[in-house]
Amino acid sequence: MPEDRSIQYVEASVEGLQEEMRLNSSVFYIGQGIGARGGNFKQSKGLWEEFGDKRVRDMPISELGQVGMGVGAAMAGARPVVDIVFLDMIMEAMGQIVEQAATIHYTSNGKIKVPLVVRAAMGSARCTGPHHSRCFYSWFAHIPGLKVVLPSSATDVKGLMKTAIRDDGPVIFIEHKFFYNKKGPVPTGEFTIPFGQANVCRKGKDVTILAMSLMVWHAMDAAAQLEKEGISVEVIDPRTIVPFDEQTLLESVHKTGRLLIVDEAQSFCGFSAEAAAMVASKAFDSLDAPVSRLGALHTPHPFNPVLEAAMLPSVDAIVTEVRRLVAS
Amino acid sequence: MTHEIVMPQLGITMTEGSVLRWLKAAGDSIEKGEPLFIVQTDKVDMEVESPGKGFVTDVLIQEEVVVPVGTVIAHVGDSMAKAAVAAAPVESVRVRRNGPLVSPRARRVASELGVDLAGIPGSGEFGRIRECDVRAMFNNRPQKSEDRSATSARKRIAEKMEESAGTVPQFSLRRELDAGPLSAVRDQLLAVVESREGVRLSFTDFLLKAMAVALKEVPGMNASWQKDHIEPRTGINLGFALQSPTRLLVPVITGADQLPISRLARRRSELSAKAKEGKLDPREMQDGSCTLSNLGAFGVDEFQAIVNPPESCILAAGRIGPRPFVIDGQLVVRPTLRLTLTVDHRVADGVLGAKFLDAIAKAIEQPLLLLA
Amino acid sequence: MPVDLVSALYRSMQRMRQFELKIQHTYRSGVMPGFIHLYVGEEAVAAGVCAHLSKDDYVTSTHRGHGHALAKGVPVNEAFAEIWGKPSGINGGRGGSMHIYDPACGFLGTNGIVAAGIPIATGAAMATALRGDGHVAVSFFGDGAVNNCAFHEGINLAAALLLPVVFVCENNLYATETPFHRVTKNTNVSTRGAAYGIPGIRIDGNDVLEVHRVAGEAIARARAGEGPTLIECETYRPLGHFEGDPGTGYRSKDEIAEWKLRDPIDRLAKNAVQSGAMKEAELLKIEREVELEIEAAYEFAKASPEADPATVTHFVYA
Repeated sequence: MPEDRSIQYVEASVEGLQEEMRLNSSVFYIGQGIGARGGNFKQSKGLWEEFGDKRVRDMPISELGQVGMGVGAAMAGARPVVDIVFLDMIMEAMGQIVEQAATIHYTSNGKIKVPLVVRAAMGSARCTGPHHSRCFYSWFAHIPGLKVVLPSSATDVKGLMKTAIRDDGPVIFIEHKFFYNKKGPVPTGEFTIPFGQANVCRKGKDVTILAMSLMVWHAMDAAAQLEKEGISVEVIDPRTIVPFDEQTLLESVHKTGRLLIVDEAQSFCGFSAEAAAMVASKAFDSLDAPVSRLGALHTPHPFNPVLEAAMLPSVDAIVTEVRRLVAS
Repeated sequence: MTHEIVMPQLGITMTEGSVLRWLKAAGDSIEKGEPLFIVQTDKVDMEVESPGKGFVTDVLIQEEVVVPVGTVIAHVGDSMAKAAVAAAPVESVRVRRNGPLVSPRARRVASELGVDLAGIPGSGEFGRIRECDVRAMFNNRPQKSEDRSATSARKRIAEKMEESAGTVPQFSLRRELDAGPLSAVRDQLLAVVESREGVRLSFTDFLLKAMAVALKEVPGMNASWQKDHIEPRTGINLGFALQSPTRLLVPVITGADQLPISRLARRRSELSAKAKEGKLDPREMQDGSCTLSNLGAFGVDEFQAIVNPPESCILAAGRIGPRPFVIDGQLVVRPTLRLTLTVDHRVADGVLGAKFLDAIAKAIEQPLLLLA
Repeated sequence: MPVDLVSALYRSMQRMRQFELKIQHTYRSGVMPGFIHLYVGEEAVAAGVCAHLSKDDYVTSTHRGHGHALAKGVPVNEAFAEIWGKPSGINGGRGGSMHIYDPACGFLGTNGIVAAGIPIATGAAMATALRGDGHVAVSFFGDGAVNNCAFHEGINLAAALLLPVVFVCENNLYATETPFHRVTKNTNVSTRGAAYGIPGIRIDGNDVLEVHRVAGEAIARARAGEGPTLIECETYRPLGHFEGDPGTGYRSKDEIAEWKLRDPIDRLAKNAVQSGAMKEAELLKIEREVELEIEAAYEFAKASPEADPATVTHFVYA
């Protein structure tokens, strides 16, 4: 077993990029401020120094152009990584992602591949406000042809980044701003994490919590607290929304009979609805209580810290909801 | 408006508490001032009332879960639509079916275990039957077949006793015997019988042997009243009363007179074991001449048993223990055995009964007579 | 006039023209699914530009892209079958008219989204630049695309990164039914080049030799690493926006008639004969050969079986 080192999530993701860029000269990286500056979140730090302008190129604020370029380059045999920085800004490029990147392999009858990675950070990190906090990753999951990755740990972000770059199709790689400077163990040596493999972060027998991204951390905190009350919580991090590891979730629900889905995104028409429908359909006879969901309130994202806290699922809210679930 | 129900502070030292019992479930209506739950602290159990009228919109902790004072544990609201609470779970309109709510998991488990859902109390929200409720019902299910047999067995015993009390004129004779010689002989024979038959020789075995010998001596007791005449018996079969886990049983040792005591002990042991496992054949409980009921092991000094018709009599034995006894005009302390023989007067008069009891007494006080 | 060039250009334009007319005819008979946008009248642009491109150069196209596809080298049979939605089509019939892809000849797609191909071409150019293989990308688009963000971002990026891509605007004066001048203040598309610091040139898009000359220069510049060029080709589509649109609801019959007189194929034929480069008979021969080609393509597509529903889930993920 390779030893673990403790490094920042963002450093781990850069390592993943670096390693893949060294392995394959057709991988290049574009985005705003990702060159000499190393990225707004230091998410490309060191790449420009190593690979130069040719493969690590600062971009103007042209998300549509950037992603369109990524599509074209991928179609023409390169392996681009387009850094949108804030997930919210990806809206400018949605047409290129949804109408172009996602469809080309299918529509060309498999003749053309689009090995494109579009990277961005989602979520709230203390009042980032309405234009810099969204979590609409489920929109991409809804589009056939796109893979959607949500790493929640330093190990995962590195392993999944490498897999994303090696994937022959378009991958939407969504980190969480909050994670970037948080340290976590990362093994030395070469490793990748496959898509479609959920991580059972914590085993339990009374309730299953399916949580995404930052909510995984909240769920783990809640589970530790609930343990003291004698409630045993199993926490599952899907890691990739597409492809989704249905099997792990269903097995867990078969065991516990109770499911709480915790998402920083809004519940209505969000991914949590998909997971709930999946479980209601395929694990119906294992459910001892109705499926429960905790998500952001159905509002735009307020800047004000009090309002923001009221809008987003908290550890306390998770604890309270698990207690209610167990009693119901 | 919605009221937050919190774990209350009852007394300055209280820092945490639990709900001993919810008096209302989520979904129930409640009046202002109506008791909602009972709080349990290390010092006191106390009822807590609802601060408002409305519905218990949710129950957030289970009974017996300890939480800090001030923790929100439930809500009481005007209507079942919950007010928006920070990051509240998505409320869906629950379509309420008629009849009890059952979770799909509970339904499946009930089907697997063969448990009838009707009548199971549901501990879930809105009285929903959940897996734990089904399992609780399964684990506490009455042992159906044994109950039935117990019921009918009880009935049979009752009938028999009624019959005995109602139709059999009975009288009782008492003897107190010196059980010293008996004890001594038993002690001497313990090891031999253990090694030969693998059983522990008991006083019951001696009593049975004594009764067998006595019946040979006083054959008039080996008979039964049949409607209008005394019917003599062939064979000496002795029943001995014992208590199985569920009921009184009287296995019968056939041909007890022909068995040396060690073999009789083994037979007694076998029948006892079968009786305790509920595996006695009905034929092993029939055709007794008379019955021994030994309550000595239960500390009873002496008692009077009820004749088990059509048997002629029943011998009740008490505890062998040190008692005051007169030997040769001297008051001494001896281990004594008190026997009470209850006789069916239609089969035997007092003198015949007395002779029978005397024969038993002699065999007990002079155990060597058991060899004759 | 170089004979080989004229002959090749003539054949290319004839192929496009006859193909489109046959498609139109087939479509009108009701057997083709979907909708189509015919390239009739604009053949000079595709022919003149693509004559400079090899199969390793890239092209992105538009919803009106059958001409670009053929000029770039997509096989005629498979192109016809694709538009017909047959599995023998170049993309298994899964794309149809507006989603034709053929990587074998660098054809990176006709496109249902206006202007989307512009940054894609820039991206293809980025890939070739990274490889340093000297290949270029060409983006074809109409006047309808020039007011779209993708035009602005795609061209700016190409210019800023000095990428080997040429931007060719087929200004046929109308975006669907909307006249260009009604929604644009500066209707001289070529002047937009200056905004990005690249050469912008406006030419007669129906003069195939002129297109060929200017495109050649631009492509050479790109190959030499001198960056992109914007070429505005003034042209016209005498037919409607899509097959089913008479094209007269928003245009005067006079205008249409006037442009028909400037038909690119007629012009080349006339010039070729007048200059002595080619004889009428030779031109006719080419016409006939192309006729057979197109007829064969039609038969090929017609005879092809329908799609197998079981293939609907193929190729969602690579």
